[in-house]
Amino acid sequence: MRPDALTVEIRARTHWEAIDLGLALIQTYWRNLYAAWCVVVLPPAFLAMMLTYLFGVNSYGTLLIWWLKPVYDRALLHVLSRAVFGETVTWRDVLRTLPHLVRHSGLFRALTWRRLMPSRSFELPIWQLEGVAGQARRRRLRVLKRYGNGATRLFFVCDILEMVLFLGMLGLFFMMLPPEFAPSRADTFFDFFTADKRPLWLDAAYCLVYLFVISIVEPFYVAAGFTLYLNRRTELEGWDIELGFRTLAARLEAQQISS
Amino acid sequence: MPLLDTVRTIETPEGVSIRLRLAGPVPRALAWLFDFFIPYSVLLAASGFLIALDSFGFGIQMIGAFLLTWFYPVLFEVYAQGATPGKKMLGLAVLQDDGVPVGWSASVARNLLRFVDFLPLLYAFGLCSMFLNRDFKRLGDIVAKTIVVHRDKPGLPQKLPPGRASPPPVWLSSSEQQLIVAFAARVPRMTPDRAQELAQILDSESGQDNRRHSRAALRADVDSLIGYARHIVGER
Repeated sequence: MRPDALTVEIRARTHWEAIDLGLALIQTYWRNLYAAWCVVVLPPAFLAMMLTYLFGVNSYGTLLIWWLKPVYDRALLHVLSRAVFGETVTWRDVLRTLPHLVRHSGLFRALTWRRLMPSRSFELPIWQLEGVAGQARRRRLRVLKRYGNGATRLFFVCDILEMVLFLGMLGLFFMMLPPEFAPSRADTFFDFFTADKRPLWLDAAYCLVYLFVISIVEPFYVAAGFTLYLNRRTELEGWDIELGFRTLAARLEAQQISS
Repeated sequence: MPLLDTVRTIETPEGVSIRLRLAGPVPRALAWLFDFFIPYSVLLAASGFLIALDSFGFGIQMIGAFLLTWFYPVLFEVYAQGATPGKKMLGLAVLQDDGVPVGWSASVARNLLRFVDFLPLLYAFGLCSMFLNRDFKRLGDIVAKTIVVHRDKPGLPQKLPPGRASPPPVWLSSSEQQLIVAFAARVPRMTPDRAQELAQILDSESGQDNRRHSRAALRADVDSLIGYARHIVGER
């Protein structure tokens, strides 16, 4: 791992700045990221639609999309971790590496008892990229989580952002809906979505809105977790100092040769 | 291609370049949350007394809510270095695009447009705008030509580990001196191996031979570098 090969500026940042860098990463590499995103998200989304169609209960489909987030995270991190070294990952590459990612990144644990862990995206690089296991991984996690990390607040805010966008988009949807389509006696926004007799398309719309929302927030959550991880390693391993020392050494050497 | 960063460099007319570290949606959302809850909880507490005044108290309450909504952010941004209490808590500040403090017209414009950013519910449009804009601007920032920046510096350790101060044998620029001090201060948090590895970088190959002939090389081990750092910060 050579910090000077990164396409991201290495300097000591606050947690907040590291999180903001995650957004800058998405803004730069959104094409590859969203190509990978579509590869992993569309099949579960299709399945969710089928569930909605068969059972007519929106929560099953939405739950499935929510539960599989760790799978999407792995594809996103795969793209990001290559992108910061200037490599482009196409959706075909993602499809090809997906079986490997499923087997070698602790996915089973991530989908079961670690599913609700707030620092999920911060810890993902250790599981997926560092290739350590067992005792060594536990030690790594302990070292990187010492002295505080911004992972929990990132999770907290991303959760809020998700809720905000979800309510916002549902609100927008409701505002745009012609009155003759609304189920009878839906007086308020919430009545409308909790009514007993909903048309089927409404369940599907609910699911799609959720899909749209996580398409915005989840890549950010993963990217910001990754930049927090990079920031933590910069701090602990002195990457910024390494780069500075290399420049200094080069200057001293040039000076000695000329004198 | 320049390295990816959230810093914008601005050149002043005097030829000085300043680095502004842009703030994104996460710290700003939290700052807003504080700015929402602090003044309105004060108002809510006050309403306990105002309720005794019946409809007159209710009127006062409404006027208070109006003033808080429209003038609380503007007054703080203009008179408190661009930071409302929530922004101050998160170490943020509002500036004009060119780095000067935010003025009345810009602050009023960006806070009036909050209502557009708020649509359709809870700042969903503002959030989308920040995701799409390279400078993390919400719609109000785009119209008012303002940015929100970080004031806080990273909280890295500043205390130097113990050692004997000794002057560095070569001339070092001020940024190079800072670098050595930063290294020394961070040694306690690194593994000894990694600290030694970093120190070794300064030990260039030609430096190895030259050290015997001339004194014009830094001794590249952790303890010597800590010694230099202590000298640089003024210890003798």
